[in-house]
Amino acid sequence: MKFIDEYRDPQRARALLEEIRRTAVHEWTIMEICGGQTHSIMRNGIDQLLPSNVQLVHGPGCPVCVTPLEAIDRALAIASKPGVILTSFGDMLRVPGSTKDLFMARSEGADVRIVFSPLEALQIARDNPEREVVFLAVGFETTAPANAMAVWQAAREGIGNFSELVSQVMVPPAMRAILSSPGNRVQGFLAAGHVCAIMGWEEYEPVAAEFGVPVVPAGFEPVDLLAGILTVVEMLESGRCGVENAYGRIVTREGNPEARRIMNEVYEVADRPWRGIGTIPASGLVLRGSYTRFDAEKRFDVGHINPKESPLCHSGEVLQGHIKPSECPAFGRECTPMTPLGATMVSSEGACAAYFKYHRNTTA
Amino acid sequence: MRLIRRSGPIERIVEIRKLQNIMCLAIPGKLIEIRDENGLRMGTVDISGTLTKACLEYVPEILIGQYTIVHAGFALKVIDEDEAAESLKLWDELIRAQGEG
Repeated sequence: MKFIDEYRDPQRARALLEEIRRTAVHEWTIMEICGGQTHSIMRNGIDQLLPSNVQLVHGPGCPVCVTPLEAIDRALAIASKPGVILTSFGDMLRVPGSTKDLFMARSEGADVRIVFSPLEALQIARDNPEREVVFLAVGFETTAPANAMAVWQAAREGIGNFSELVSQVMVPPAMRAILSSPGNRVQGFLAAGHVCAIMGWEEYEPVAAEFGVPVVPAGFEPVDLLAGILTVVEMLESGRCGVENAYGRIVTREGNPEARRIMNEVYEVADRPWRGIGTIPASGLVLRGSYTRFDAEKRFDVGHINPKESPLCHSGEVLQGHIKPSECPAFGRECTPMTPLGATMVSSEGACAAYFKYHRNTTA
Repeated sequence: MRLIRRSGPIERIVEIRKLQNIMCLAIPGKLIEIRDENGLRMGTVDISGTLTKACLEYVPEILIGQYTIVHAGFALKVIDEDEAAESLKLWDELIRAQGEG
C-alpha cells in the first residue's frame, strides 16, 4: 500500500530507535497532542521500545474526549425531539452523557445516524425535506474545513432543514494551557500532522519561542512517529527550540489556505470549555453571525441542561498528561471500554481506551 | 428486470468504518476520477483497492494519478512525492551508516 507500507517498515523503525537511543543522553518528557498518534504509539509499542529516559505523555488531542458533557446532553435532547434526524461521526455514539449516550438514545427510538462525512449529513437533509437534520460537528482543525463546507454548501443551496451542533476545538491554545499549567513536565511536542496539514505550522512558532520548546509536526505511522520523536530529542539535546517539520510529504508551513478560507468564512474563534479541563480562552470555533441560522443550539429549545460528571472519572488529569490512565483508581475496575465513565475510555482516540486495549495495565 | 448494472465508472461507496473510525486519521489514496456533484468538485480515491468518495474542493490543483489524504470525506492535501522520497532516502542512509558503524 503506497504511502503506508514504507512507513511501517521494521528496518527503518529499528534504525530510528537506535538513533534515538544514541542521541538521548538526558531525561526528556515529550507530549504527543493527537489521539490518533497516541493510539499508533500504543499499538506499535513505541512507548515500550523507546529508551527509558525518553518518556511520552499523552495530550488532550481527542476531540471526542474533550467535547463538553453539556454538548452531549444537548445532542441527546435534540435527538429525542420528534422529526429530528441526528447525524454524527461514529466515535461520538458511545460517549457518556449525564444519564446515557447516543447509542442508547437510538435504541430508545431516536433517529441517530452515523455518517463518515458532513456532506453525507447534508445529503440526508436533501433526501428528507420534511425532517430536521442536525450534524454533531466535532473535531480539531483537521475536521473543521469539512464541517464548514457542509454549512457553506447548505447556505448556497438554501437547505433550510440542516443545522450543526458545533463543538470544534483548536490545538495551539491547548498547548499553551498545558505549558502554562503549574507542575507541567512537558519539554517538547509532537504536533498533530493532519491538523498542521490544514493550519500549517506558523501558529506554533510563537508558542515554541515563548516557552522555549521544540514543536515537531509528525505523522501517524510508526516510522513517522519515530522520526518525529528523534527530531524532538535532537532539538532538546542541542538546546534548540522552534518548529522543525518531520512530516514533509504532507505538512507545509502555510498549510491549506483554501480550507482555512472556508473555515474562516463559516466559523469564528471563541472561548470553549474542554471536558475534564475547563474553559480555555480562544480555543474553539462557533458559527459566524451570517451563518448562525444553521446553529442547532439556537434552532432547538431544549430547556436547561444540567450536566453531571461521574465523580470517579479522572479524564481531565489524563488529558493534561498529569497522570497515566493506569494510575486512575477506576481504570480497569469501574471504568472499562464496556462500562466507560468518561470519554477517554470510550473514544477510539482516547488515552484510557488505548491503555486498556494495548494492555498497559501497570503503573510502570 | 435489470440484470446488468448501469454502465459507467463502477463506484463502490464502501464502508470505510475500519479505516476511518478514528477522528484525526487521514488515509492516503490515489485519485482516479473527478466529477461534479451539487456544484462541488468530487473525486473517487482508490485507498489500497477500496474506492471512496472525497470532496476535492480543498485540493484544487490535484490531478488524476496523484495521491492525497482523505479525512471525513474530504481530500486535505496532495502528497508531495519528492518530499516523501527525500525522507526515505535519509532514513535508508541512516540504516547504511548504522550497518557500517
